[in-house]
Order: sequence, then structure tokens, then C-alpha cells
Amino acid sequence: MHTENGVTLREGVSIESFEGPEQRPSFVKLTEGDEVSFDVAVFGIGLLPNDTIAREAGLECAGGIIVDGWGRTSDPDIRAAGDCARLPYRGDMIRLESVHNAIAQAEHIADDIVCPGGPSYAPVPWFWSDQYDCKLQIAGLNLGYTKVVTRPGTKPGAFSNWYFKGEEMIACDAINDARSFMMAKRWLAVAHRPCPELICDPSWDLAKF
Amino acid sequence: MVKIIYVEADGTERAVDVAEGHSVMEGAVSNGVHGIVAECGGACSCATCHAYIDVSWLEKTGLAEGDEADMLEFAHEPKPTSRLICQIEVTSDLEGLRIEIPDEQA
Repeated sequence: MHTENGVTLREGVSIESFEGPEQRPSFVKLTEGDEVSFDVAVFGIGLLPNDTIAREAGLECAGGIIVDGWGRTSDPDIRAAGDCARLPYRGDMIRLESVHNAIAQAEHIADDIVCPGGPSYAPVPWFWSDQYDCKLQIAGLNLGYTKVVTRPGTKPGAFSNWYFKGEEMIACDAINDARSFMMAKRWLAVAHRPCPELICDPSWDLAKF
Repeated sequence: MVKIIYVEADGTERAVDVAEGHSVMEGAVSNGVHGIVAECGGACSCATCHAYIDVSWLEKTGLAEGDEADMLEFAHEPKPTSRLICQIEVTSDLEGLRIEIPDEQA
């Protein structure tokens, strides 16, 4: 999609140096030797969680701060929430880098501090991106899926991929298909197990569920 | 500034001045109106800024269409007057706009 829109993607290449006037560099030298000029440079930094402060505080960390379903760290006086926290999710320990999780996990912890004894945090992760004319919405996480089925959308360019782990529906990627995304998110919240054959059938209306 | 009246789920009315060009959602979030979550920040991707438009204002705000209508179909208790209010731009035409916020978001 990006290539079709005139974007050149270069993988496995690093920037050697920024060049041009000191206050306003205008091109980069790449490790391959090429030069690429630019008006604006955007950096993508931060792929690894920075848990330095947590480590210094003696908290158990493993690529993020280890927490339980109530945001409790290995120190009973410290909770952690958001991108930096590694939390239990369907048998795995994962980090969730999303706005939804930053809000929902923090709320869950606040609830537990004020009124302890509630259930463990059970997020329905979701993500979105608008790129060109394409609306991408993802519900759930497809970690460890064993089967994918595709549901055609109701308008041109629309479809959704539904991921199953055994009988369990675990995630949905919806491309220009907001209805499938909304339905998947709702089903994930109640652990509903839709039948893959029905999902593939466009004559079967999700809204009639 | 344009006055927008937000009615929270418990009936509390909040009259807020919102700058033209902002969305009705931004007016709610930046003024601490309860019940508007707006997780996606205004991209019409999450359906957590759902609200009901007072019927007398529908002509000016218009009805939901396209992706917005698709999202609303699966929102919490949608009605014919439902909108995702990140999709409504505040203009002088909307002075006094009244919207009701549901008790839950999607």
C-alpha cells in the first residue's frame, strides 16, 4: 500500500550521519553510502521498554515491569500500568502499547486501591491506524493462532481476517470494515466463540447476532 | 467561542464554551465532561465518544454516515439520533447545541 502510494521503503539500512548546514541539516548519509535529502525527518525510537527506574527500585523486570492482574509489582507498595508493564494475558505475560490499555489498566488499579477484591484485569486489546484511504482496526491479539478465516466486507476494499486458537476466536484485523471490528471487540469482551464458517459467510449479518 | 450543553448520564448539565474548529468531542474532553472517553483521539475508530443529539439540532449536525454509522450500529444503545461527536466540528451555527451522553461507551 505504501509502495503504491509512492513511498520507498529501505530495510536493513541505518543512517551514518546527518549532513548540511549545522542548524538545519538537509540530507542523510546512509550506511550503504547513498544520500537522501529531506524536508522533515521523523525518528521512530523506543521499541524497548525503559524499565531502568523500576530496576533501580528493585522491582522484578523482564522486558518491562512484571505485574499481576491488579498491577501489583514485586514491591507491595508499588503498582505499574501502561506500556512499561508486563501483565498476564490469556496465559502469557505481555506488554500492551496502546491508549486503551494505558487508560483501562490505570482505572482498574485505581478501582482496586479504593475498593480491593475485584476481578483480575482482563483487557480486550485494540489498535487502529488510518493510512491513506485505509482504515485499519485490530481487536484482540493473534498470538499463537492456529487458523485464520477471511470475511468479505460490504464495500469495495473492505474485509476482515479473524484469528482462531483452537475453537477460540482471539483476534480480528478489520480493513475498512468497522462493523467487523466492533463485533469482534464485543465478542472478545464476553469470550463468545463465533463459528468460523458463519464468519466467512457474507450473507450472515453480524448485527443480527 | 460556541456554547455547547452536555447532559451527563446522571442528568447533570454542563454548559461549556468551545472554540470554533474544535470537535464537540474535544470540547467535552478538555472540560472534564463525564462519559466521553474518546480513546482514539478523534479518528472515528473507537466509538467511545458516542452521544445523542437533541432532535431539534439534527438538521444542523446531520446524521451519522459511512464508517461512523457502521461503528454506531454496534455502540452501547444506539438511537437514530446517535453520533460520534469527534465527527462534529464546532461552528457558530451550533451555538446552544444540546447533546446527551449515554451511561456507557463501547
